[in-house]
Amino acid sequence: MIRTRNLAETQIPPPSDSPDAPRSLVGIVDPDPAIRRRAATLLRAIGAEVAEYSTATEFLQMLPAGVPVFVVAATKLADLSGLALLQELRGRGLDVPMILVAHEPDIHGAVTAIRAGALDFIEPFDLERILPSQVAPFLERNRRRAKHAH
Amino acid sequence: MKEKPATVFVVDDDDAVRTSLRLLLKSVGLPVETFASAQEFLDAADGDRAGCLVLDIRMPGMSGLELQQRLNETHSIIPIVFITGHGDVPMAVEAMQHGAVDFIQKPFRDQDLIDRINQALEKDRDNREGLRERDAIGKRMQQLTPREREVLDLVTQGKANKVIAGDLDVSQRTVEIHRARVMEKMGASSLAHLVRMVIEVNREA
Repeated sequence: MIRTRNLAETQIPPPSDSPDAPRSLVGIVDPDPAIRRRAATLLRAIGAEVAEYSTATEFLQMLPAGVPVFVVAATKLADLSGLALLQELRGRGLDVPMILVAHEPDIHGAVTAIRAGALDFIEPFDLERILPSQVAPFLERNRRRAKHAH
Repeated sequence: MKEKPATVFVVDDDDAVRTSLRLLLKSVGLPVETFASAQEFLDAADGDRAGCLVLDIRMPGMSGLELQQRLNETHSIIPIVFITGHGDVPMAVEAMQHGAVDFIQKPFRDQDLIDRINQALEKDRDNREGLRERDAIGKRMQQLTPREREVLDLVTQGKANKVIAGDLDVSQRTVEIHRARVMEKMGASSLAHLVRMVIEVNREA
């Protein structure tokens, strides 16, 4: 059953073609391939489907194909700051929860990010500790919603 | 309402910091009270004082984050600005996630701190005004009879008098009378005003 896609339906991803496989898409936007790989591994281990991007532009271009359940983004991207990406999503009416990853200590950035609505702000060493526990509830909520939708 | 003027409460175990902050804040005309420990602040707290809290993170005994937690548990609304020489990102994030207004590292420019403290004080004023309003609206709602309360709910749902009459199984004239009494008791100048009041009283701080 095809529903029309509404980008305003944020945390609910567009329906997959198979009713048994709700999409649990997490977007990773980071210029560092090692960090992308680490994050992707952690997220796949909790059942997420992962899409990796190295720039904000690539990520934003893919949005119409499906809004992710969660986004993990570096604070510094080649084309946009992570904070600006968060604000861009909010500006489009997308309340996708977001964690920002700073490659170097940045307290001021952390304060600004949380104030702007980021769920969390971490340095790479905390990926293992933070990512699975912060993302899992949203995957779970999505699975429940997808179940009820059928 | 005899409320003491908004005060900046400084909690820092470092005597030099307390002294310099006291001087700085006095120099811009802000009332200030200083405490050498989180416990001292809690012991001195007399009810719910207007103002804001300037708090160090690392202190012997109760830390700044622990004090924040304590205050959250008692539903204190005092805005907190953390200042610290020891900060790291996880601490700053925890402070902000638990509701801090700001988190700044030393060394900071005096004017920067003053600006953030003023922002915190403004937030405190806004919070308190919201609470007072909600309190006043709540009291007025308690003056309504059960029937008037029903009419209030249906009116603010946007239902026409005729529909309300059907819902409550009374005449339209009766609804009009109840409605007029509701408007008067609530001090509402219009339906929009009434709706805003209901939204306000249902909102969380």
